[in-house]
Amino acid sequence: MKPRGLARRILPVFYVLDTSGSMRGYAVECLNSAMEETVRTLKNMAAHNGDVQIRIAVLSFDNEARWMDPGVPVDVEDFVWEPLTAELGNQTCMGAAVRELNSKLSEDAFLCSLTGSLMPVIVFMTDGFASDGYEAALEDALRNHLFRDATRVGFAVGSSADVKMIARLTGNSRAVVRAGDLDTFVSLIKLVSETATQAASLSHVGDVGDRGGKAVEDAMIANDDEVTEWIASEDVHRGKVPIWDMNDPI
Amino acid sequence: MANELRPHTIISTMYGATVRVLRKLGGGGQGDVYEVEYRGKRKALKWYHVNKISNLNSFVKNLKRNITMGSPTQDFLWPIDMTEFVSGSFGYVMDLCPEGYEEAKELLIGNVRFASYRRRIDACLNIVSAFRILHGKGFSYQDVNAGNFFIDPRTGKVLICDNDNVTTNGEEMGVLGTLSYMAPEIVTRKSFPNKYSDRHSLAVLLFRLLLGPHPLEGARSVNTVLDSQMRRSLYGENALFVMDPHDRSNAPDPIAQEGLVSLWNQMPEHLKKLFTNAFSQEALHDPLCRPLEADWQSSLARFRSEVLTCGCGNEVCCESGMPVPCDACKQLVCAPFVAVFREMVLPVALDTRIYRCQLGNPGISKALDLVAYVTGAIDDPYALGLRNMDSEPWEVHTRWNERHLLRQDEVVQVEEGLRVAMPGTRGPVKVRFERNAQTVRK
Ligand SMILES: Nc1ncnc2c1ncn2[C@@H]1O[C@H](COP(=O)(O)OP(=O)(O)O)[C@@H](O)[C@H]1O
Ligand SMILES: [Zn+2]
Repeated sequence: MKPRGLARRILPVFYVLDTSGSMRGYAVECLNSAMEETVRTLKNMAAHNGDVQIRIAVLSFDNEARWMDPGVPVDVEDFVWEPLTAELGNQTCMGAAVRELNSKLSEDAFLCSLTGSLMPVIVFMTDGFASDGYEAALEDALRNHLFRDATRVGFAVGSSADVKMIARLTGNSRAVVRAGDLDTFVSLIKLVSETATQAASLSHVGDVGDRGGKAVEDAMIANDDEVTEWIASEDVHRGKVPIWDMNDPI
Repeated sequence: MANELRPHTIISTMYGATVRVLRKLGGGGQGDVYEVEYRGKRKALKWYHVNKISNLNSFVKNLKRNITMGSPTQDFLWPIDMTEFVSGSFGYVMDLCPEGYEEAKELLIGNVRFASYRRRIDACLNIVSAFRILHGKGFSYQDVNAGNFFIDPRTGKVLICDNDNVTTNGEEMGVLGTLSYMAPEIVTRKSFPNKYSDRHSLAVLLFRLLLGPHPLEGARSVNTVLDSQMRRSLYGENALFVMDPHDRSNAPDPIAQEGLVSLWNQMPEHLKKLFTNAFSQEALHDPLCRPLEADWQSSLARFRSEVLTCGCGNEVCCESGMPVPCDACKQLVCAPFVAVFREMVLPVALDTRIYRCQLGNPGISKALDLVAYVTGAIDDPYALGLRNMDSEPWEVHTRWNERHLLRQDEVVQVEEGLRVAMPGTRGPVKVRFERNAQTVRK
């Protein structure tokens, strides 16, 4: 007989992704490939993190905002990335996206049965400036504690992205990743998703510190392959050591 | 042939250089390949049969774009320049495939042999890594088949040619691919080649490189004429994996394909699972459900570490470090040590490698960096040393609880109780070494 384990706490992870006209071609294909790997990373994390169930939902926006199937956060285990497309001429309606996200970010409607749920992670990405006024939508959203207390991080991709907007959406300029090009974005989105999810899964109710900024910082450190803290080398191992064959592995 | 190029012909290129034709190397469906002199160096020129190109304008536009974007990695024989039109035809310049590389076809047929099974795995790893980067950059390849891969059987290094059809994922180039490598949705003409159909073709190529036969050619294809209708059914609407666990109606023929089952049984579970997923009914018919290149990379890197050489020279797979009887000489093959990671156990023997992608989730281009290598000692046939191949130092704890830093190229002797912390992408990855039990564990 086995006692039943604790129910896993739900951690919703939202992606709010730009599919405006400027993302057409390689850009949106890079985004798709990067997100496929991100989902894989989150699946691995979920598999090795017994007490959190990661649920993922994707909102893409151009002239309007729309949810990727099935339109509610689903267990990352069952999530299949549906490739996004970007059409020439489409705008960057970030305001619509924030409004849509906020309208669904409520205990009863979207996140049904939030008992034991953790504060969500929200990841924003844009390569441009909002073509609608996003400020009012953001102000509204900030009155919603599920938005306000979420671990929010954002990507400003390329040289014509509105960095200030991403900083306001995340509430903290430290939570903004400025990716000069798509390659940088591709390599960082996985790491940031990982660190943000980790930060959120360790958070406690009422703990509303700067988790977004911390997550970005952690990701940057991991990306730089910075040396982890090492204990100073005291005495080098002497003793009898064989003479090693240094033939180079091919 | 009408548009055959004669030696010494000189043609100018888009970047204002010239090519001088030296000799013909071979011919293919879309054109011929010549050895040429270009900017003082020997290069290869692909010269098209223009009538074989369905939409010349967009083809040329795409080729130019590939040339300006540059090669995603060193593993591609990428177009570097394009010639002007001469008597209605044109071509592109790429690096010459160096000596020692063989067409993958030759290796599949068995005309040329890999130096070892580990080199086969290395070739597979190099292929999936190159495609992980290619797809990551938003490209799709469109025509994955054994004819487009050059492999050095001594090292497992790979060069990928025919990159003229490579395009933004989702764009149609007019090619459909090579029937036996085509994804079912391409065979049935429901879709045009893209990243997802590349993934099916890659899985077919990996299966063939590691196991030999085609993964969809089982009992149903034995003793029948493989006419085009039959082949369309085998690779298309009725595709069924020979090792499908739920439907055995296309299982390998017990006589004609006897070797396949025993080889399959020697594969590690994690890899069998990946093949089973890649050729499941779900993945055959839903392109979005196919394993990613990163999945193959993890599994192949692990498999690479699990293959050991028996005293008789045969290679066997010691999954999770477990001793197994050699299928050639029946002796028990047992790695002297095992390396215990949080999520897996690897055998530790001469030539064991640990790659960066086994220590977390590094950038795509760093995934196959070698971080650790097991070497032997010159003066002690039984000693094994673990060499740090990484620029970052490791923290090493010996079983006497001494600790020190092990810098790049330094070696520590592998002993019972040795613990090493290697820098991973998310903090140090701790590995403990244990002497391996000489008995078959269950
Ligand atoms: N870069 C290269 N260096 C040397 N040989 C090459 C190169 N590219 C192609 N070849 C050789 O030229 C022949 C024709 O190649 P290719 O035109 O790519 O074939 P296909 O059109 O059938 O795909 C092949 O036999 C191949 O080995
Ligand atoms: Zn043997």
